[in-house]
Amino acid sequence: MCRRAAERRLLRSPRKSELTLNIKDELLDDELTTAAFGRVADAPVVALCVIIPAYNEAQSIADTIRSLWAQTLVPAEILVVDDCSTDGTGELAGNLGVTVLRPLKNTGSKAGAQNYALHRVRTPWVMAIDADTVLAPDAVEKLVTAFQDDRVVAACGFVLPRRVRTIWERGRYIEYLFAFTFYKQVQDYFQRPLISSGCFSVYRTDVLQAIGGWPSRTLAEDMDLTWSLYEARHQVRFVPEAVCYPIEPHDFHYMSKQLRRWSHGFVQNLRLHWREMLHVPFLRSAVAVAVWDAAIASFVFLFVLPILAIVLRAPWLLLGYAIDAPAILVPVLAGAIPRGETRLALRSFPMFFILRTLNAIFFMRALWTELVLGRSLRVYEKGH
Amino acid sequence: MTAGMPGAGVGGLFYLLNALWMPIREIWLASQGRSSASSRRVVRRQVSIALGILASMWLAARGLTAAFALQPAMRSFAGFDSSVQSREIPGLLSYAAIVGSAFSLAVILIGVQTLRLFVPSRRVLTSSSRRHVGMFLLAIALTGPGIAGAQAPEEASYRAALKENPNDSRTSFLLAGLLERSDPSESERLYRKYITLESGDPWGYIVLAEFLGRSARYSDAIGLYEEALLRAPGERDAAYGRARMLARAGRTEKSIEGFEQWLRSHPADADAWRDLSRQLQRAGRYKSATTALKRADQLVLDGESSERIEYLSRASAPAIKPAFSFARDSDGNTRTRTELGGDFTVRDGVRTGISFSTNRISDLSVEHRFQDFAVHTELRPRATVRINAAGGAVRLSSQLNNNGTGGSVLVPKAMVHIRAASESNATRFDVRVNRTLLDATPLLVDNRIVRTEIQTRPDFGLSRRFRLRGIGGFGRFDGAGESNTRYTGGAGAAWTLRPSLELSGNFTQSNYAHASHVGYFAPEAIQTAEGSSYLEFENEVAVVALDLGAGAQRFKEHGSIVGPWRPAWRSYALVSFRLRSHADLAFELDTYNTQAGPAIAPVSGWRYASASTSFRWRLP
Repeated sequence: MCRRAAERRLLRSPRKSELTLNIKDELLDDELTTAAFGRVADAPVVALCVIIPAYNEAQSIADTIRSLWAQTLVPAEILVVDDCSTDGTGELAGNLGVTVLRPLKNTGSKAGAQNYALHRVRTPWVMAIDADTVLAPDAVEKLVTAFQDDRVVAACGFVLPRRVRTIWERGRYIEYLFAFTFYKQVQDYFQRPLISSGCFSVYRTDVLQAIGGWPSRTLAEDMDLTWSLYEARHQVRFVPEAVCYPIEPHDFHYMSKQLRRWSHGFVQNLRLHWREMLHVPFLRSAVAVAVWDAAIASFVFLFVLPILAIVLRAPWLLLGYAIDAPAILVPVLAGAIPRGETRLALRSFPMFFILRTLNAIFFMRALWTELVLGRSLRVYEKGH
Repeated sequence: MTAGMPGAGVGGLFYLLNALWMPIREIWLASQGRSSASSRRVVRRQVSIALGILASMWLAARGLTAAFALQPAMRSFAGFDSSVQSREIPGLLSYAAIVGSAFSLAVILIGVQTLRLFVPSRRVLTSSSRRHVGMFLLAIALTGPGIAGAQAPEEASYRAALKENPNDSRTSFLLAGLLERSDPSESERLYRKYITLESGDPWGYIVLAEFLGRSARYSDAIGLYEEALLRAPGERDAAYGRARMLARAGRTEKSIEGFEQWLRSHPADADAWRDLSRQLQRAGRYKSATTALKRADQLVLDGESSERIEYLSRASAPAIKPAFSFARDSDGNTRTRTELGGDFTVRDGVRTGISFSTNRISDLSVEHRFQDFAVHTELRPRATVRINAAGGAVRLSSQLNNNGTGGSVLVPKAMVHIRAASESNATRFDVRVNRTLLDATPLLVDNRIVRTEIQTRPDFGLSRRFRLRGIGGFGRFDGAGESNTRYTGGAGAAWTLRPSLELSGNFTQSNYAHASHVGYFAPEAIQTAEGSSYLEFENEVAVVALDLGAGAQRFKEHGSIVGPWRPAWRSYALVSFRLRSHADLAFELDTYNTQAGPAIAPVSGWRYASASTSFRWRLP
């Protein structure tokens, strides 16, 4: 079978039994070499195109691509958008059997790079993955099961840091274990995962194209897209069995960049979506309590508790900083024990409280800057 | 990305409560056949985590208590020396945190729900309204960057162009599109200018009609669509858009005519068949709605249709309805009623059935049982007219037979209830004629008091949100050798905040011809001033309706002076659950605290409560 015929088969609607198309051999005959790219020899191909936006990701992109080729369900096409990198990212990716696209100039944001490739996608599904993220071998296979429900237009997986060494990586590890084991699974049960994570999500291509691709009007394009999908009455799912491992910021410099982008992105999305979001059940309540925690709880955490402790000469009030530690530990252990990571979780647990305090500072600052001063952060700074 | 501070306070409590709510929701889903093994697994897991969190919090509080109680060093660190203060610390920390978080969460959730009532969605376009998307794209194409935002430079240049040439129709149109949100009145003026300058262009009329439709000015919008149709009789957007606008205006019958007219010449328009189906459903013609939807599916398959077709088929299927109710009043009268009924569709818009009930009424010393049966019919000759009629009899047992001859006696009863509205829904009329046996107490049943009454409630819409109401009625009471009459008159006003929320105020007065000694309270005059609210909420699984009224009443007994105003209130709540597609389970609660009762009260200062449950099962 020629390559074009194989592509035509890929474009068919992938309903249930048609979910996978075992046409590996035809594709391999033409272009790919199993040994070179670490591809599983008998893995079936799924009608899925992967878009990897990349700017100076030479350190990590090879792992990302290899983990895609090593999937139990291999994507039909991988598009790397080399957003005018200067470290040879594009050449490196090109040598790993993927299609590399290079815009004439830097698109300015992750969403911009993703949209640059979106119009080339011909498969019914498209995956977004970061260039520093690797997948568990069965991540794609697990994730696409969500689309057996025709109403689902986007699905995301469980996120865990690839490296857990520094204070910040450990704090993030606990944060993710807690959030993805408890919060996100409750959100998913009520059919409203708060965000389909930008580092690893799959979308129905026609819906994504119809909605205009990844929006670049805020600094949190994944949140903007997810909430837009809800407002358009679509469904999003979270599949905890599909696991991905991004590289998280390892030092304060990168962590602060990431938190700055996230916190401003959250406030920008809030301003953009609050009116429509009021009409999306569960999401409106989940976001309202998140706003409360970002504003009031952060204020209490950063100002009220220490001031009261000093004024009232009651140091016991400082217990408030960690009074919920046992409550947080339960979901953390529930997530860590089945992974055999109990010791790692226990060792990393105290770092969570440092990261949480930093998180509070950035969210307070973002609220103040965006809502009170009216200064919207627009510059997209890479920070993993 | 995790927004806020995970774990702390309100967010944590929100997810904890949701996790604890999951098993209840899962039971509910199971009752509808929507539970699955995977969702049950998730529920088990999340509930275990939630219970683990609760246990850990309890243990933490206990641990702190023990630590503060036992360790002098910790008490010293905390700044407390007395053992009393030490013991209070964990309590302060845990209880204050829980109470504070719970209170904050309640405020947030109530705030969000309240805000939702007052902030309408801006979303006009839906994924199903493809033609509207077409219209929207057309408007974008015509208006260029106007709709997209960043309008100041464009606005300045359009205004400058209009200053130079005030009759530039295209610039007028572009500026009108640009100003739709920021200056609606100027936008309308410019659109109107455009259609004056380009009177032959149907699109000018259509775009202005859509603009006015978004402000709920349906009459103007429909008029403009008719102008567009005159200019382009075969244009889909004009014919189809007019029918849709009629539907939005609530003019269902006209909308059905519009869609049918379009479909006669364009039978392959699947979207039009679907819209026609919706309007037929609204008019209560479920069989025709099913046919239209099936026709649409034959043309273009829609994933959502199968569920709707099943719903429509079930709506027109025969149904049986068992019900049970219990009521008690402040005089110690209790009443139970067990009912079995059934109905079926004769043809589209006509449904008929029968019901049979056994009743038990008792006070502290007397108990009576009686049965009644009725044949009832519901007619929907037009979308805006609904007629309910029923006829039957109450069968009183031998000890209630006044003749003392044994056997039983039948007391005929009848009811006709007509509700009609003008096409625009601006004027509504409600007439009810009723002949019934009063059965609130054993004494009334003993005396076989029969009330024959006619009530009317005209309702006039002064604006989209504001309505005036009239109340009028005449009733005759016969039984136990006594005859009495009652006149009722009143007026009120209602303000519709949202289609599902209405506030109203009204004043009514009733006058009885003379006092009664046969078991009901009949003062010379009763005056009621009441403020009330009506709230309705509906989603795919439940309907909730709340009707609350509070105000004051006073009365004047025959030959006496007018009494003081006294508080009075009433409430009615309905919760109806949809179990799968063919069954409904409803609960109703009705309470009164009144001086004279809305229909009849045995004594002044009467308090009454009734609860009922019913199950409606539609046969396959």
